[in-house]
Amino acid sequence: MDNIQDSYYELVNLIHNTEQQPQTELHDVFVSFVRRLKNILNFNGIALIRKEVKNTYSLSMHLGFQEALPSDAWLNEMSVVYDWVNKKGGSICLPSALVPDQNDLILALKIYQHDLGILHLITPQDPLDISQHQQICLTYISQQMSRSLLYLQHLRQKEVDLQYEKVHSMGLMLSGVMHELNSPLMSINGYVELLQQELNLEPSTSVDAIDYIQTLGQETRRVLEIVKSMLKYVRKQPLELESFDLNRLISRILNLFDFQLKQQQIQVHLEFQPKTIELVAEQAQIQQVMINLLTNALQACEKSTSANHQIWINTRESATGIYIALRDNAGGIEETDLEDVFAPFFTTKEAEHGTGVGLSLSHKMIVEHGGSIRVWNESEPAGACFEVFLPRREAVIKPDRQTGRDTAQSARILVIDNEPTILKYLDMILKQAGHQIVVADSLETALISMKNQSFDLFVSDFFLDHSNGKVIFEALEVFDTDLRTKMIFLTGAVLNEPFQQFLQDQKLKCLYKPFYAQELLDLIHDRLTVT
Amino acid sequence: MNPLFNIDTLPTLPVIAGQVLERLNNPNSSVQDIAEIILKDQSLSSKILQLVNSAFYGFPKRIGTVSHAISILGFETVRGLVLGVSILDTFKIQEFDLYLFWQHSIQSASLMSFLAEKWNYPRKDEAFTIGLIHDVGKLVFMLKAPEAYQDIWDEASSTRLEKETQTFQLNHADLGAQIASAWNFPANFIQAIQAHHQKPTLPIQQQNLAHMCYFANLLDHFVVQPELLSPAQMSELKQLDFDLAEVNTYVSSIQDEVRDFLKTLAT
Repeated sequence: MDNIQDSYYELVNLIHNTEQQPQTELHDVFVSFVRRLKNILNFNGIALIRKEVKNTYSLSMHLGFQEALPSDAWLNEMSVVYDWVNKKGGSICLPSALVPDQNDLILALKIYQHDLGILHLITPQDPLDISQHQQICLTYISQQMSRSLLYLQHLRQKEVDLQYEKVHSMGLMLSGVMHELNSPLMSINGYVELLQQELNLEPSTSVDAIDYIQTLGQETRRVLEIVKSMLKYVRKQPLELESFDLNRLISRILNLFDFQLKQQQIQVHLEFQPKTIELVAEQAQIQQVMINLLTNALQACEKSTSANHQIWINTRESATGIYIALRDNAGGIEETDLEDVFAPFFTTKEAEHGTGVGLSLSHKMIVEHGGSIRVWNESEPAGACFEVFLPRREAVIKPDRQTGRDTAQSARILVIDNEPTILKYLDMILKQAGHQIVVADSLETALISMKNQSFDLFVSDFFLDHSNGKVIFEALEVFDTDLRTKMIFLTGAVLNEPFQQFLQDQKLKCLYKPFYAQELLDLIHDRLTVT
Repeated sequence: MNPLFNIDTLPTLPVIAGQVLERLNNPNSSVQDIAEIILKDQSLSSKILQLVNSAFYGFPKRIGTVSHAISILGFETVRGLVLGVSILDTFKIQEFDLYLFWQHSIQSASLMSFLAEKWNYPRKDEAFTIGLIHDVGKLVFMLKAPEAYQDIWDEASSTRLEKETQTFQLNHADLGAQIASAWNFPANFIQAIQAHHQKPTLPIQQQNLAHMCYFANLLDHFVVQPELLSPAQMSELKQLDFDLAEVNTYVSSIQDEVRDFLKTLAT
C-alpha cells in the first residue's frame, strides 16, 4: 500500500505545480490595489512579482510594465534588491535599473512572516519628493495587499486539498479493483485471441462468427487498455509518450460512436484549428479521456428532452499547449453539481448508465500529463463545456521495434506461474512462436526441472504461493549463473519499493499484467538477441 | 519632583537633530526636506551614511547620499539614526561604560522589529526606533547624577527600578518620557518609553508599542542574562505566543550586525 501512497504524493506535487489558479480573483485583487496606489502617487507601470518556493522570483501579473523586458534577466538582476526589501519590509524608491529617467518603487509583500513577493512600480515621481505620508501609506497598502494575497493562497490551497482528497479516494478503490480484474482479463483476452486464430483456420466458420469474435476481441482489448493504463499509473510507470495527430484520434473515436450518434440523431460539429495537431502524450489515456467526455455528452443528450442535439468539439493550439473543448446543448450541469463532477462515484445518471468514475479518471489522467480539465455551463444554447488543456512536450523518439519475426529463434523456456489458466495460455502462445516450453506451477517444480535440463530463458510470475521474485531469483541462480540476462518476471501486483529496487539493482526485466501476447514475445525476442 | 531633573535643566538635543525631528513630525515633509537639514551637519550626515552602509542594513549597493538613504531605508529608520547619533553625542559620559548600554539598546531595537514582524505590526521601522531610545532616561541619570547612579548601576537589574525611585523620586522610564516630550517626540514614542516597565495587562495588545517595548526589553534581558530574571518575569515571557528558543536564535543570528552597528555609532 505504501507504494500507492507515494504515487499520490507525487500526484499532489503535480497538482501543486500546475498553474491552475483562480486568475480572475488574483486579477481583481491586483487591479483594486493598483487603483488605490494611483491615489497615492503616479506611476507608469506596475508588476506583481511572486516569490517562488525556491527563492526565485517570477512575474505574475503586470500593467504597463515593459513587455519588452527580457523576461529572466531583469528578474535575476533585481532579485538581490527584492530579497533585501523583503527582509526589511516597507518600500524603497531609487532611480530605475530598468527604465531610463524613471524610478523603481519597490514594495515588500510580506505578512505573518510569509514572503509573498514584491510589487514593483515604475514611476516618474522623484524619490526626493516622496513624502513621509506617502511612504507610510505605501507600507499600509502593501500590508493589506499581502493580506489579500495570503487569503487567496489559502483558498487555492483548499481547492488543491479537495482535489487531492478526490483523487486519493478514487485511487485506493481503483487499485484494488484493477488488481482483481487483471488476471482474469488477461486470460479472457488471451483466449479470445487464440479462439480467433482457431476460427480463422477453420474453413467451416461462418462469416458472422468471425465478425463476432473480432468484435469480442476489439472490445476486450479496449477494456485491457483501460486497465493497463490505470495500473500503469498506480505502479508509477512512466507515461508512454508518443507523438500522434490529435484530430485524427478524435475522428477515429467518433467513428466508434457513429452508430450511437445516428441513433440518437446527434449532430457533431468538428472545428480543428489547425487541421492537424501533433500531440505528445500517452495515446491510450487521451483516447480514454475523449471517450469518457463523449459518453458523458451522449448520455446528457439522451436525458435532455429538447430535440436537435448537437455536440461541438474543437481543438486549438496555443503557445503553451493544446486545448480540446467539448460542448453539448443538453442543458448543462446543475450549478451545485459543477464542482463535484470530477469526484469519484459522483454521478447523476441512473445506475445502469455509469458508475461515476469516468470523469474523475479523466481528470487524473490529464493531471498526470501535466494538464488540466475544467467544466462550466454555457448559455445560448444551454449546455456543458469541458475543456482539456495539455501542455506542449518535446517529442520523444522511440526506437523502432523490430516487428518482423523472421529473425525469431527457437528457445528453451521455463515458464513458472501458479495460475493454471495463465500458465496454459503462456504455454500456448510461446509454443506457437516456435519455442520449446516447460511449465512449472510452483518454485519447487521449477527447481526439479532445472536439475535435469538447462534453459535459454525463464519467465516467472513475481509472486508465487510462498515466494517472491527475489526468493525465486536467488533459488534459480544456484543452477544458472547467467540468470540475470535470462530472467523475465511477470506481475499483476503493485511492487513495493524494495522489490522495485531489487529489479533495478539486478537490471531485471518485468512485464506488468495485463499485457498482450505480442509484448511478451517482443521482450523474449529482445532478450534472446541480447544474449 | 527632583529639581535635578527639572525640564529646563534637561540636556537639549543638538539643533540640527531638533530640526530633523520637527520636520519628521510633519507627514507632508519629503525626502528632500529631511535630507536638506541633515546635510547641514557634516558629521551627522557622514555618520548616517556610515551606518546605512554598515552590515546591519546590508543594502546590496553602496548608498551614496543622505536622500538616497531616506528613500531606501525610510523616514523612520533615518529618524532612529539621527536620534541614536545625537543622543550619543549629547551624552558623552566618561564615568560609565556605555558599551553595554548601547548593546542593550540596539538589541532591544532589533527585538522590537522581531516582535513587529511576529505580531504583524505594520511599522517595523517605528518599532525599531523606539527600541533604540527606550532607555534614554538612564543616560540623563548618568549625566546629571553620576555618583548616585553608579550605585544603582551596580545593582542587580531586577531591583534597579525601585532604587531609582528611592533615590531620585522617579525612574528612568518616567525621566525618559519627560525628555522625549521635551524633545518633541511623537506621542506614541513618549507613551511607549514611559510604559516600557509597566507590566501590560492581559490580554497583551500586539499592536501596542508600549507592550511591544516592554517585551522587547524583557526578551533582551532574557537573552543576555536569563538567570537574573525573576520567576514572575519568566512566566510572563512564557505567555508569549512563540517559542523563546526562537528569540535566542534570532539574537545570535544578528550579533555580527549589532557589533558593526555599535562600532560605527561609537567611532
